[in-house]
Parts: sequence; C-alpha cells; structure tokens
Amino acid sequence: MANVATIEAPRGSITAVGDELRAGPGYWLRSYLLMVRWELLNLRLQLPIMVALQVFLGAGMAIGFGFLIADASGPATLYLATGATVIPMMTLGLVMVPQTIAQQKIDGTYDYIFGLPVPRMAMYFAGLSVWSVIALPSAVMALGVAAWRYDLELSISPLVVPAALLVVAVASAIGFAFSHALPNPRLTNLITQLLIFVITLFSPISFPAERLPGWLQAVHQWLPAEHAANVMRGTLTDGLLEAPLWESFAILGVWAIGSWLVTAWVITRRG
Amino acid sequence: MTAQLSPTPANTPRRWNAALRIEHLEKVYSGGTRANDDISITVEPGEVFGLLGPNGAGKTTLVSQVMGLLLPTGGAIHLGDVDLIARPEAARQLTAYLPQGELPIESLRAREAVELVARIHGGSAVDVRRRTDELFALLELQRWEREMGARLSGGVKRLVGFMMAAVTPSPLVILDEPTNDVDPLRRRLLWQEIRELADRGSAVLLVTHNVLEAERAVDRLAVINDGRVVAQGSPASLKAGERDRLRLEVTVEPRADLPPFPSYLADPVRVGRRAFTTLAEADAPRALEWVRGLASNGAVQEFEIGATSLEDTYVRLVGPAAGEDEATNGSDTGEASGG
Repeated sequence: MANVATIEAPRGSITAVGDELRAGPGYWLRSYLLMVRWELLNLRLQLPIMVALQVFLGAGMAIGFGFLIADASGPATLYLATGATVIPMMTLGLVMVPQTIAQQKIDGTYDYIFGLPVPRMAMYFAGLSVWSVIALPSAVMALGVAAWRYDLELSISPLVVPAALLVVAVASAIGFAFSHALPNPRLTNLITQLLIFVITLFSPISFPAERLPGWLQAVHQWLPAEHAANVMRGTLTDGLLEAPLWESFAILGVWAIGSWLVTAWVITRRG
Repeated sequence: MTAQLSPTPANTPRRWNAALRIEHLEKVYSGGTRANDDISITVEPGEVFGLLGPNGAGKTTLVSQVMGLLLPTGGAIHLGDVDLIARPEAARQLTAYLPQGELPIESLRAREAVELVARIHGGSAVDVRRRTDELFALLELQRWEREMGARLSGGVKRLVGFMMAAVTPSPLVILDEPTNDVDPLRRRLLWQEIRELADRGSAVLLVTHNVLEAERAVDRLAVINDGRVVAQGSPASLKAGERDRLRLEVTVEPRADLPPFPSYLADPVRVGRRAFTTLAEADAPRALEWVRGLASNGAVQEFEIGATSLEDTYVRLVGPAAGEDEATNGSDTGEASGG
C-alpha cells in the first residue's frame, strides 16, 4: 500500500478552508429559517396533538377550576379565564420544551443537533418561534372557551401581543436553560413534573395572590408566574389588576434577559 | 440512473489541502477520568484514517472535541490553518459528521433529511438537489426517498445518515461506525463512496471497532486504548511484526483452562472461548501436530492455522477484554473466522 502521507494534492484549484467559513446576519437568518423548518418537520407528527392538548389544557383549567368554586361569577371567572391563557404558555415553556430536550439527550440525538453548523442562538430562537406558534393559538382558544362558558366581557388591549410573547419567551427560556444545563435528562423530567404541579396549584395564576400564605406571596413577587398572569390580566381586562402593569412587564423582562443570558452561556459552553 | 453517476475521481479536482492535525490532545473530565491522554494523529486530505479502539477507549471523546462539543484539557486541534479549539463554530461548519447514535430524523422523510442538512451546511438548492439524486442512485436507495425516518430499517437509516454527511463537500468528514446494520451489498457501495469523499479531497476520519473492515478500507489507522494511542500506521505496517508468521486459533469449552502452550508459540491471548497465538512458519508442522493431539483428546474443540490479520495485532495491543468486544462485532458481520 502506498504511503499516503506523501500524497500531494494538485495546487491549482485548492481553497483554504478558512475562506469557506460563513458569518454575518445573512448566515444567521438562513440558519434560523432552516432550523425553523427542521423543528417543524421534526414535530410534524406531534404538532396537531400538541396544539389540541394545549387548547384542552387551557380550556380545561378555566372550566375545571370553575367546579372547585361554588359560586363562579364576577371577578373569579375573570381570574379563571385570564389564568387559562397563562397556564398553557407556562406549561409549554417549563414542561414541554425541557422534556423535548431531555428526550433528545436520552435518545442520543442531542449531540447531532448541536453539531450542526448553525449559530447556537439562531437554533434557540428557531425553537422559541416554533413553540410560540404552538402556544399562542391555544391561549386564544382557551380564552375564547372561557369567555363563552362564563359569558365574560373582556377589554383587550393591543399590549396583549407583547405580553403573550414575553410570557412564552420567559417560560421557554427557563425551560431551555435548565434542561440544557442539567446533565441528567431524567432529572429534567422529574423537575418538569414538579413544575406543572407548582404552576397549576401553588401559583397565583387562576386565583389572587392574597389567598396564598404570606411567605409564598413574598416568593411569588420575584418569580415569573404571578407576573405572567398579571401582564395577561392587565391587557385582557380592565381594572382586575391592581398592581401597576409596567412593574410586571419589567420583572418579566428581567427574567427574559436573565434566562437568555443563562441559555446563551449554557448552549455555547463546552464541558 | 447510471447517467447521473458522479464523475470519476481522476477528473474531479481536489478542493482542499487541509489536514486534520491533532497534537498532544488531553481530556480530563471533571470527575478526574483521563479520557484522552497525549493523543497525536494527523489525517491528510485524500486519506481515510481509521480510529480503532474498544468501547470506552476515548474515541467519542476525541470526536466530540474535534466537533467543538467538548473543551480539551490540553493540546491542539487544527484543520488546515484553522484552530478548531479556539473556533468551535468553524469546526462545525467545516466538518460533516455521522454520529454513532440515533439520528433525529424520525418524522423527516429520507430525502428531506438529506436535503435539509445540506442546506444547513450552506449548499445551494441546485447543488443539493443534484447531489442528493446522485447519492440516492449510487447507494441504490431511491425507493426509500419519501419514507419517514421512523419507518426505515436500521441499515437504511444509517445510510441516510451517511448521505447527510456526504451531501455537501466538507474538508473534514467524521464517520462513526458507518457500516453498522448495513447489508453486505450496500456496504460495498458505501465503502466506494467513502473512498470517493477522500478522492475529492476530504480528510476522512473513520471511527470503528470493526477491525476486519478497517483493514481493507483505511489508508492508515491509529489504535487507541485507555485514552492513549497504542499503535499508528498503515494496516500493513502494523502487521509488519507478524508478517512472516502464522496465526493459530483454538476454541476451548466455555470456562475451560487453556492447555499449556509450547515455548515456540507466542503468549496466547484469550478472547472468551477463543485463544490466538502466532508462530514462525517453520514451526507450523510441530504446532499442527501439537494442536491435533489436543483436539483428539478433547482439550480443544476446534483450531485453525492461517495468515495473520490486523485483528491479531489489534487484540495484542488492546488486550483480551477489548478483544472480546471485538469478537462479538466480528461475528455480527459474518466475517469472523470460524473453526
């Protein structure tokens, strides 16, 4: 066998590999769009079920909590209806997103996806876009079902759009960050089980914060769940929210930026 | 479909002249495990380089560092003039990769998966379509083009993964066990295509523990064990020490002790029920007489004397425990020597 180390490549048409590297906004945008396509194709079998499940979850919360309250009327029903929009968005970001990533780690496809030549944050925003597309229609449907069930009068502000996007962004950024950071995907799945329980029963989303014990109220002032509910409540109703709306927007904004920074660090670091 | 076949290597100009140079690579995990220890290998453009070693030898750790997924503890990795440790995103752009594990294509159709990865690698729509046609034809996979990943057999899925790596020309191609589960006919086509990638100028790093296939397919190889390179060279040069020798293999009852070997035989290496040794050609008659005696009194069940193979060198280098793993793989391919 010939000694291969001595093989000389012809010099004429040779490109230096460094010259082939892509960079810049065009590369970022192209990567983003292709990853959106990748995510959608990957979810094509589950997508209808996921949307249906989200709608069912939101509407179910609104109607189901109504059974718990003997006299569901007035502000209580408004709480339930607005909470019904928040719960599917929160569970999507904090449960479905991390479970998807945990599954990639379990079946071994995680390294392949992270070996693809796309900017990490383009990959992240592609995922976020697809998750938003799943979450937002279901939030609208949930609100519609609740409004019909309780015969509500809503007062919808245009700020509801940034509010909903912010809620999805915060929830999925947190879900992304901890599922990437935790080396054991089974631990991720356990945490999501805990989170769904805390979000639905122990977070002031479908009921006012005053009903919680004082210490839990204090904790929730700094957690995203109550503020996610506040921004939705403040932009869907008139006068239901007593705290200033901007404060909840600001706290959610800090959470969004903080969890993006953590995500950016987590998904670009190397073990 | 033959009209679409790719041009012969002879008239395909090489696109790159970038070697993968790994120098003194060291990786110590936070738990203290030294997974790579002073590994130095060079894969030249146009070369198929085999990375052989048993499970846990540090092959995947090595590949993950080249791909920018893990940060080395020490050493250097360059592809041509690009420092891949400093620029992990460059590593991913310049490398086409077929991982050993599952591919995330359950709900993608085979053709979609190949084309989408090609587009992600920067291929133009026209080039991607032409090359995808070509690959499906070359590997005779057209009938699965529209089938979703979840419905493909393991071997076809593996080949789709290979096409995903081969569809855009890349200076570095890393293939981790590309032939797993692939049928023998397409395995031949696959080896031709791997050679074609090298002929077009890619440096091809082939990770495998299938020694028998590697012996025929690679130009050079490195054997790693416990994180270290224990041998490196062409298959012929690695076997050089055994060239004028023959191999003797005996099979004994499970868990039975080996009979004592005469001194003119090299120390035997035991792999499960099998034991290998080598001997000088001149000693063949008396060795044959000795082993026939053992066979007739039942101390050995089967024996074989033949030419030495790379497997003998490999087993000697990485030890019997690793050889056991190898023996299993060898029989999977139906190519392991029988009794």
